[in-house]
Amino acid sequence: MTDKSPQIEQARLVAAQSLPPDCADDFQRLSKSLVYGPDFQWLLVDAPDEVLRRQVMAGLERVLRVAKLSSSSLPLSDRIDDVAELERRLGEHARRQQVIHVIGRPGWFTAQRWDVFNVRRERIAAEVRARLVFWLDAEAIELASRGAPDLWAWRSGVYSFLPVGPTQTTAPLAPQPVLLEGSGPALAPAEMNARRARADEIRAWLATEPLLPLRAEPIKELGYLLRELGNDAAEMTYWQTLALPFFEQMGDAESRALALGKIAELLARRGDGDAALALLRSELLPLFEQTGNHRSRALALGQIADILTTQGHAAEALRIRREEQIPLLERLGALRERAIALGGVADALAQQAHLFDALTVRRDDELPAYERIDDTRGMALANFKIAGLLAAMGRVEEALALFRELLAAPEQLSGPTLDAARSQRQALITARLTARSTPPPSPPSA
Amino acid sequence: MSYQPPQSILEVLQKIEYEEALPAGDPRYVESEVARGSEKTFSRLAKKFGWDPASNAFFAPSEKHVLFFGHIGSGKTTELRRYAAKLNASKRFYVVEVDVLTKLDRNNLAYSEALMAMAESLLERLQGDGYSLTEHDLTPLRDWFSKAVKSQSDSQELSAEIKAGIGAGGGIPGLVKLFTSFTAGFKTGSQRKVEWREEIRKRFTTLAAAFNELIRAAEAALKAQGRAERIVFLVDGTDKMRGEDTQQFFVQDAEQLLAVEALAIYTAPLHLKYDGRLGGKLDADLVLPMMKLQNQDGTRWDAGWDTLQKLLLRRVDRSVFEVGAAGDLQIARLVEHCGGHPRELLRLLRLCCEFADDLIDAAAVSRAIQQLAADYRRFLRPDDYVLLCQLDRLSAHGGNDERAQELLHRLALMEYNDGSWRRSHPVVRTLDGYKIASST
Repeated sequence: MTDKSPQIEQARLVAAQSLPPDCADDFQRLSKSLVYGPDFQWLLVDAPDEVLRRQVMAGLERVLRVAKLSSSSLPLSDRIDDVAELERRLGEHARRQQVIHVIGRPGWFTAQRWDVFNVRRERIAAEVRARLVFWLDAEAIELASRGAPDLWAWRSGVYSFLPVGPTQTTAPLAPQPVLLEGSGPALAPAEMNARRARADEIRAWLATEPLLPLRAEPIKELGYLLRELGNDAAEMTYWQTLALPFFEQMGDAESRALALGKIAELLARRGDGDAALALLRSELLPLFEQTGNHRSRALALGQIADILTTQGHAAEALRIRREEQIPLLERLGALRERAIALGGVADALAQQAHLFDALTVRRDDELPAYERIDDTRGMALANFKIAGLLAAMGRVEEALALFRELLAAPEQLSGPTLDAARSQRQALITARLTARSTPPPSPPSA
Repeated sequence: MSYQPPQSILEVLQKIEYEEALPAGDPRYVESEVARGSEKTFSRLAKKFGWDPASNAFFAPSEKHVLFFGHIGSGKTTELRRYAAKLNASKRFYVVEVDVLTKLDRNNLAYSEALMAMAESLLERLQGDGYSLTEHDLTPLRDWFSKAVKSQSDSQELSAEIKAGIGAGGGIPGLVKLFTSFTAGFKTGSQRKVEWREEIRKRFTTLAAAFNELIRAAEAALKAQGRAERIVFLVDGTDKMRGEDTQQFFVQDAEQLLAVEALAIYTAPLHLKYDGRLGGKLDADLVLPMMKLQNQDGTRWDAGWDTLQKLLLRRVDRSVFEVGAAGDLQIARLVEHCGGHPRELLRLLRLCCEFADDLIDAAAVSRAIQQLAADYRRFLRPDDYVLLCQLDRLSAHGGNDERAQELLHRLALMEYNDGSWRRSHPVVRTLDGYKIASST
């Protein structure tokens, strides 16, 4: 396909809108290559977060459907023992499908398997004429790039869908802001080096086994540093093997809850949504009920709803939001958290394709909630989402007007959201131009 | 009809294939000898085979096995096809192309299969061009197969296949069928492969002699018809074997390759040239250099810029860029950041198509450069950046240790002018890791 189709462009735009702002660019690139690129491509996707991966795949599926491209998924399960079996299955899928999603599993692609895949690549390219999308993690991609350079040189493209801190509707589990703030703007290399040095210093000091009470603050600081350094694996190890045992040893229930919440968040981010849900439901909710910590309970409910939404269980997410979380936040007078939760309701409605209802919630509930607390950034983000919904509903002129308004005050939007707003506005303009240049269908003959 | 490059971003995206080597005469081909500083590469190759293109003087060695090195994706196959066309046109040589990737299993390739594929390709080429050989000429090879089949009493299935091949008829067509069934078996059956490798190893001297007789007979037939005096085997795909097979093929089994009294050129991975184990058995000094954008002393090399720009504009119409100087600037930025590597230029172009809407503008080019750099950031380690900075500061060659070879293999480091000097990939120089390393 070498001509733009307004329908496909519209579908790409709408699907990109449904994703976190950071993902919009790579989604646009990936969907463009899949739809318009050659029949055979080997595309590598760094998507360690299962929840986010499913979101992106769902968006792609909608685009592929409009583009009339068939697709299938091929998870690298225990039943696929080796690359030979993978090749055989790719061949089977390619007989029926034009796009094959190979869902990687951490550790499946070892250096040896990449080597074997490398030596089979020409045969795969000749016999599996499909767009192969390999959903992997950074480790697997690095193994390919280091261990099999000629295979790496063969890649058609590399795309990243990485969660950056809590999503809009994911709120901290406990009042410990120093540990739970989002990652914020990217740090300069010198700042990163300084943080690494400080983290090493704390680790070295902890290795001297200082008195227990002295350890609390440095341990918390280490968690903060690791969060900023953006190494999820190191952060998970920290919470599981250092922070959680320490807080338990100290009998610090609040900090223990914080650690469990962080572990749940990291589990969800690395793609283990079910494990995260289990931890939240079986450990944290009972703990907050027991201690009467209603605020943390409400935020944990929001986290559960977030995971359910991204897993595609929008109805259950909506129920939790409407029946449990929002009433609890209203009783607590937590106005900002309520506004965020209303955004979550709109997200779930949009996922169910109830675009009008989602728009109503955004305009009639969420926006006024942010206005009430004078949260201009919250209002800007809500308006960004509204513009996306309008575009998805085909109300292009209204969407464009809203994007224009948003871009006139760019300081209210975070960097990724601002970029997404710019690219989506541009895409809308292009789609509109393309639609205008396409002759209308002939009227049916009488 | 004149060639029209793709005129829309989506058409460009649709048509970019990195792995595609251009056949001789392809309109997308751009002459790159001056840009690479490789004007003498073909001449050097020809002279190794005993022919001086300038004077047409000719005196071929009895055998010569030449390795042809180059970066991954630097255009080795495309250039070799051009060389093959020139060698064929000279009427001195009859070039037989052997693509081991399509004929054999690259997963596990040894000299035995390569030799069989060379024989098969020669017979196919002769058959395709309408040449015939006498039964006397073909008998040694046929006899070798017959004896091999008899000694392979345990492998009834294979014997049946080979017997079927032998029974397929006489002349070149019969022998082609025999070889085809043989190499097909090699490609698919691991147990058969082991058994036949052992058989070839035991009776290699006889096989090599039979193959050599076939080559001599074919050369006599070609010479008699004024077509050529010597056969040249162009063995492509041997640069893509797995690491241990590469060592086995070019180092441990080099003597077996040399037993074939022929003129042959094999593609070889660049890192093999520098690991010091080749031992001088094979001719290993021919490198296809990268196109260079500057000379070793840092002065601009206009030929490189012009060639790469032409190459780019055969893949995308100029109208896809902004008009005037603004578009020219973006074309120059793409050329600059590919470092002279054609595939990297195509990769940047593809990324531009992913980012751009209708026109490739400054923003799309910037994002393409950032994205390609991000691909390198995935595997570069802090000490890699330090080494790259050190090598960039040297005006001459910085030596060959394992790390430098790895960086060359992964294209983070690029080599110019037959390997006499090197520079880091330009996109790598945009990364923070490089900037930090260079500031210390």
